[in-house]
Amino acid sequence: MGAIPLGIWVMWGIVFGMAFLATAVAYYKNKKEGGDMKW
Amino acid sequence: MVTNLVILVLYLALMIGISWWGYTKTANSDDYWVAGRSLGVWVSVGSYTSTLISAWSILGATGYFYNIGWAGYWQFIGTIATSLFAAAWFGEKIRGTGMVSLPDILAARYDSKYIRAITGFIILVGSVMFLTVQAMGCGVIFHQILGIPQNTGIVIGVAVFLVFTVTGGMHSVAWTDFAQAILIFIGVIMAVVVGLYHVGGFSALHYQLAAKSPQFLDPFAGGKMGVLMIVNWFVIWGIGNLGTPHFMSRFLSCKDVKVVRMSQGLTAIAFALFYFIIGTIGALATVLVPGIKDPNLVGPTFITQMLHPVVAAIIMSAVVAAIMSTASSILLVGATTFVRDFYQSFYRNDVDERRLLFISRVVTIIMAIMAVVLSLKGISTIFWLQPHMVATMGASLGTALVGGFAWKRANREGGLASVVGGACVTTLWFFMELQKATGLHPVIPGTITAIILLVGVSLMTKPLPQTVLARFFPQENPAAGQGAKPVGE
Repeated sequence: MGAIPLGIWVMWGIVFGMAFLATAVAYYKNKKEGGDMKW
Repeated sequence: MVTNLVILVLYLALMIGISWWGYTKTANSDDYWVAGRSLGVWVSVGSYTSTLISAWSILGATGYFYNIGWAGYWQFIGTIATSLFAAAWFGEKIRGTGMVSLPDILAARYDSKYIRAITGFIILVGSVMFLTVQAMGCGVIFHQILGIPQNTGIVIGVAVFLVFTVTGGMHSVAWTDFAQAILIFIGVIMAVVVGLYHVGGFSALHYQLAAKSPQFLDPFAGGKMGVLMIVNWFVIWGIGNLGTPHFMSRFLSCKDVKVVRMSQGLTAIAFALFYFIIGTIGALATVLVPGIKDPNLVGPTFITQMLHPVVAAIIMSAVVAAIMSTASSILLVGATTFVRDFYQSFYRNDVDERRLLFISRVVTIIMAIMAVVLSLKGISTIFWLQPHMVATMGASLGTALVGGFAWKRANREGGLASVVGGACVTTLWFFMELQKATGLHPVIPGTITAIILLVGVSLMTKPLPQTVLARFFPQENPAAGQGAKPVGE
């Protein structure tokens, strides 16, 4: 992926990082509460 | 043309089939407004995502990436931040109230009928505007797909989303949204796969993009996307979404707070992925179909020139899906607002369920007719005013909501001052065109004003009684919280 500059990787990383962080936070908080969840 | 028609008819038949199923599940107004609070994670993710993705997302955003390059991706960071905020804290607060609409929550938190009326008014005006823009979008798309006049397209498009909103309410809206989200993703992924095949892969695409102009691979677009603009985008969507009622109604329709959290977490990933795909389509179009002047034509041109007619028809149906899902959600919120915040609050509260459901459906039809009339008249100022409405809702309603959950001392006077002041400053900033002079989008001064007024006026006036606050802060006052357990939990 040498065609893509570091700045673009950083930008993608920030956006996807925030998105995965949102899922991780949701997973952690739900696990802490325990019980089932309707998928 | 025949292929387009067949695929579009198949799609519309599927949507109407889902609506009929929604109708069979709708027994009372709670079912109609918030799907009986029954939605699970995947339906919520699909519904929220496809409501976020409007016609602009596929048509306009492709052109945006085409002109500015990958720096355009910053625009969507605010919406991801909203989902992160919702997954971490905000979603559980909204769902925990167990209420039906955003004005319901604000009226209960600030113990004020006036705040309900003002909020309801802002939402109704915004809903008709949003709806009119979607109706106009239907006209454009149906004209492109079927070659029919735009006005005929407007009437057909509105008729379809009216049918699947008025019949099954939130059950229909959420499940048609879910189906549409799948169609939208299939459509854009097909476009990317075919495009990448033509250019020789993802890496080859970027080498060709860099050869066109280094700006396309600069995260600041060679100065076109400055830090202030990134901050503006972050705040516009980050705050704007918090006050947008058709997103809040998704939280309220979830089965419980766990579903809200997880669906918001996964929505953030779906949203980031969707715009990554759209960005890639924009980059592909830059290389494969250069020289397009009108940014709105970049997506359709790429789709029709590069793809097989059947694939193109599926993708254009996905654009129709994006419009329909956004429009049906707005329509439902507008009707809910009218019935609960005006009819029930100020006229008659002792209405039986059947009549309430009937009135909801009649209001839904009236709003759709208003949207058709405004779009047929071609009132173009609505396009101009729509982003302003998002900013107004975010600055005024979003601040009052977040402040109301975060700060116990926020009271009736502070809430009212915040909603009115935030809306007024955002509107004045917009109409006086102060963004040109300052570089700040109206939502920023609007939100700052709303926060200052909420804090300042609340501190200068009497706090609300514990009986009002107990529902919103039960953990801080368990004794008062007893008997005020959130409805629907």
